[in-house]
Amino acid sequence: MSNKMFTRLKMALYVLILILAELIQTSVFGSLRLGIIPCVMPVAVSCISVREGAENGGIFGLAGGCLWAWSTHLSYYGAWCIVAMTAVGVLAGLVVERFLLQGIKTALTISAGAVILTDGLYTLFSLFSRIAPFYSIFTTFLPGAVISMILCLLFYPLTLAVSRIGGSHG
Amino acid sequence: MKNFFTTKIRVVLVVAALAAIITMGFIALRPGKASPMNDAVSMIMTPVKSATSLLVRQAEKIYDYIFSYEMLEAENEQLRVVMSQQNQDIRNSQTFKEENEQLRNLLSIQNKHTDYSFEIANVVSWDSSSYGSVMTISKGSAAGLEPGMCAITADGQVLGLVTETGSSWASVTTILDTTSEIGAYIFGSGYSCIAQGNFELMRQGTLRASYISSSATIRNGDQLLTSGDGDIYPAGLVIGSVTDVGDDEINVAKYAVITPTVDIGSVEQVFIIKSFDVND
Repeated sequence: MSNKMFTRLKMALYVLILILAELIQTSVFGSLRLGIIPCVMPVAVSCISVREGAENGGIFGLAGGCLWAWSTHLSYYGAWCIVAMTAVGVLAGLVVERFLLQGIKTALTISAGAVILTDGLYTLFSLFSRIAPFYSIFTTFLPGAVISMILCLLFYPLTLAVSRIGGSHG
Repeated sequence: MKNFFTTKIRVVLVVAALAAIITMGFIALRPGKASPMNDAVSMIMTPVKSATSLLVRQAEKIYDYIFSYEMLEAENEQLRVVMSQQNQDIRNSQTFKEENEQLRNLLSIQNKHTDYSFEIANVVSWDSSSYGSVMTISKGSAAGLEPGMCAITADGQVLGLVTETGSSWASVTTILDTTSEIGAYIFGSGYSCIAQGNFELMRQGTLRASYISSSATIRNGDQLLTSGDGDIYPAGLVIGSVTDVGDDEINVAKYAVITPTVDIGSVEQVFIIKSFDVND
């Protein structure tokens, strides 16, 4: 198999990881009726970016953001997610390239930042617009963020395995 | 810093900004209508999401079957007691029926809306946020669905309103969502109120009936029906029954906690009322 084929296979598998993230977020946690829906897409994008660097991280961030925003009803939050996911993809890649910290700790840290940038901001918006009470930070946002971080432990090995296809990792 | 941002990264950032602007543009210019990119993504994702939801529900059923046998046994016993009570109720039903007829005549309760036209759809997935209650269903504008149409269950329980439609899917904002407000009245006593979604109650699968007269006498079990005000929801549909009553925050009115007759989160099939006659 040529290098080009390996690269295409990797890209396709990364797209499948993004779709898996969207399915876990909407179909799995949506159906379980826990009252808490974790932010899985930022975690998936962070993990891919940590393995793939700023350029590809940005592209997959953009793809993940668009998938997240456009696979359900349109909202201003969805529009923000497109920008936020792309920024997370680029920044995660830059941090890894600059400080050579390509590991699960970096993925967890960047995922936490990405979750704060998306779900955290949405929680703040909900608080200020009085949709949710203050304590929802503790009853909704934090448990959701913890589940997201736990899911990072699932997504990072997946992206690690994909990044090793063809004998290199981005 | 500028060395970090290669041309490729700049292009990606510009495309992301454009995608976000286009998304916002569609929301502002075509509220309630899905964008073409929305339709394209949903066309691929809807069947996959639908299959995943089905798998999750099946897995949940198997889990319940394995681990909840004792609970089911206790529930079965409870249901036997309820059934025996209901048999007693059936014997009394004729009396209640006549009494009900009299009350209807007295209160001049009218069936304001008749001749419903339905579209049946399956629930595909739920909103990916903890702060709202929005479901995606398997039919859209191709089946004649439009924003503002009312969704109910087979038993006539109101579920919510269609708020956005794509060609093969639609979003239904449920009555539990914090943005939901429905004109309602308490059946029997006739007190009018507004049924509103509430963040705290949404997680328990209940909602709040606000602005009830402070002199109103409300009992647990009283049914809350749609009043039909605004002609968005047909009149006389069941919103739920009263499970708690209290005074509102500033003590000028009462509120009631309303529990829908079905667990809205577990609904798998919905009926969209595409049209109904208004007989004023």
